[in-house]
Amino acid sequence: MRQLGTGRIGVFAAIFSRKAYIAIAAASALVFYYVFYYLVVSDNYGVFLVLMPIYLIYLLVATSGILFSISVFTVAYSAASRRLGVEGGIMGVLLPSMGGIVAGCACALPLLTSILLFLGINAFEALGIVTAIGIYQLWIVLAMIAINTGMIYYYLGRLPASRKKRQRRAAGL
Amino acid sequence: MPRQQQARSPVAKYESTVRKLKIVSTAALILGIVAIFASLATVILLASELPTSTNSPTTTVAGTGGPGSTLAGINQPLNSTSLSVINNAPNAYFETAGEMYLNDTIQNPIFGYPSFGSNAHTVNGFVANNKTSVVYLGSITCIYCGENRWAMALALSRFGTFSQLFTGYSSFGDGDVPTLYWAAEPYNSSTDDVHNYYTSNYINFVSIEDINPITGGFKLNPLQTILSNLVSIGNKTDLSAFNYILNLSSNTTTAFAGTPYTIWGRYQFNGADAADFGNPNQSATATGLPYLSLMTHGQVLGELARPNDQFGWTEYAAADVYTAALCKSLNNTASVCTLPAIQGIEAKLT
Repeated sequence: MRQLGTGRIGVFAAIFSRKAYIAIAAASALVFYYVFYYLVVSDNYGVFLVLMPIYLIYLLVATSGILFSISVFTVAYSAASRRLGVEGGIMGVLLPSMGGIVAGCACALPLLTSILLFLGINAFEALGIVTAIGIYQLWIVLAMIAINTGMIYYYLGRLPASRKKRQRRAAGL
Repeated sequence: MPRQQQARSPVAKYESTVRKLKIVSTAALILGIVAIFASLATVILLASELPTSTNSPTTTVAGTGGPGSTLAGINQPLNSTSLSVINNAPNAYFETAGEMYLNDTIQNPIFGYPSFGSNAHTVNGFVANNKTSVVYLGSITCIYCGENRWAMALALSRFGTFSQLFTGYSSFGDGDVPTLYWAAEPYNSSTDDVHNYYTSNYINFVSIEDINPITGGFKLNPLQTILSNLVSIGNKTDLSAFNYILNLSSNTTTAFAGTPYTIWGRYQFNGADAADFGNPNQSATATGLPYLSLMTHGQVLGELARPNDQFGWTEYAAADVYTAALCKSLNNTASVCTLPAIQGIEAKLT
């Protein structure tokens, strides 16, 4: 069983001292970026029109990649994989995808409007929702980065606790 | 003695591993702190640059900022020379751009051909005063409306004349792109405007321009607000056109899904018919502004007066698409409809 360091930093260091998990984080960040890119381009007639600083997008996909890699590690590491790590992996996939849908031009966001229309919301109500999201798209992306960072922090905290639980169980306590 | 040396070796290895992990941990901690500060700095920087008030009609904006926050020369009527660039654009430019579009040598996105899918749908058309109509519902705050008005003006110039056009911008939060306004707009207010200075023997031009403070981001007034503003204005044709859009919105294909929303005779377009923000090799700025945001009205008009790059030709090609839609709706009664490129594009419209 892998030795995890103490504290969240120690756990982070232990995970990413292995090249495999660095590779998973990098590869998943790349995939997430292209999902994000594709969704923005689909919404904007083939133009990658993102009216916010591009480094925020990089931060979003980087934190999503790290979260996904940590989730993969926890699944591999923990016997209770259904309770640990999977949610983080899903969030790592979902947030860049949502980011791609909200980060396009606020004028139209046809992808999101189509989804809302499909759900039965009438056109003008849908546009009201879409324009509200468009107005706050920068803050939404910042919130997504914060959620990713928070989940990374949370899962790094759970891993040493899970190891201690197993040790106590093994010692019959 | 040998046993002691063997006992020290695993300990030494362990200490070495711990040292390496500490270095990695420290590096990760530093990167994490840098990321946190970068995010906080972005929040603070952007919060300080965003306008604090989006509802102060009495605020006058001098427009002294650079790209992304400039309103230099807003609401100025085009002089006769600039107006002539639109009204008297040579048919040859429309033909050349149309041929480029049909030959797939226009590199900026234009609807329908070849890769981006069509955003045009067949409708019955809005008729008023026994004439077919071009109906426009957009917003001065909207970047694609800003981008699209250049091509719209060129297309409309084939069927009539503008006695006035005005310089404008999209909102600060939506690219601040230079554009044309159909009339001088109260850009610090929240209202709707239906004025334009277009006349034509062939068509009506119904323009419904939703207006919110230009120093904010994209904002569209709710349906009820637009409707009550139009009722206050009291123009029956505009109200009927808006009602026509509401009726089209009961069908998901033609539903109003964003601005600009235009109807060209028997063709309804969801969104702009092109995305012309510059030449393909001109990338956006670091803060996400498209290249068009860096251009002045004079530079755009210069491109339209003498198109010689993808940006200029795309404007004419986008105008060709609208022109073709109108020609098909008018059974080719206008002279521009005899252009081979226009007829070629008409053939591609369903």
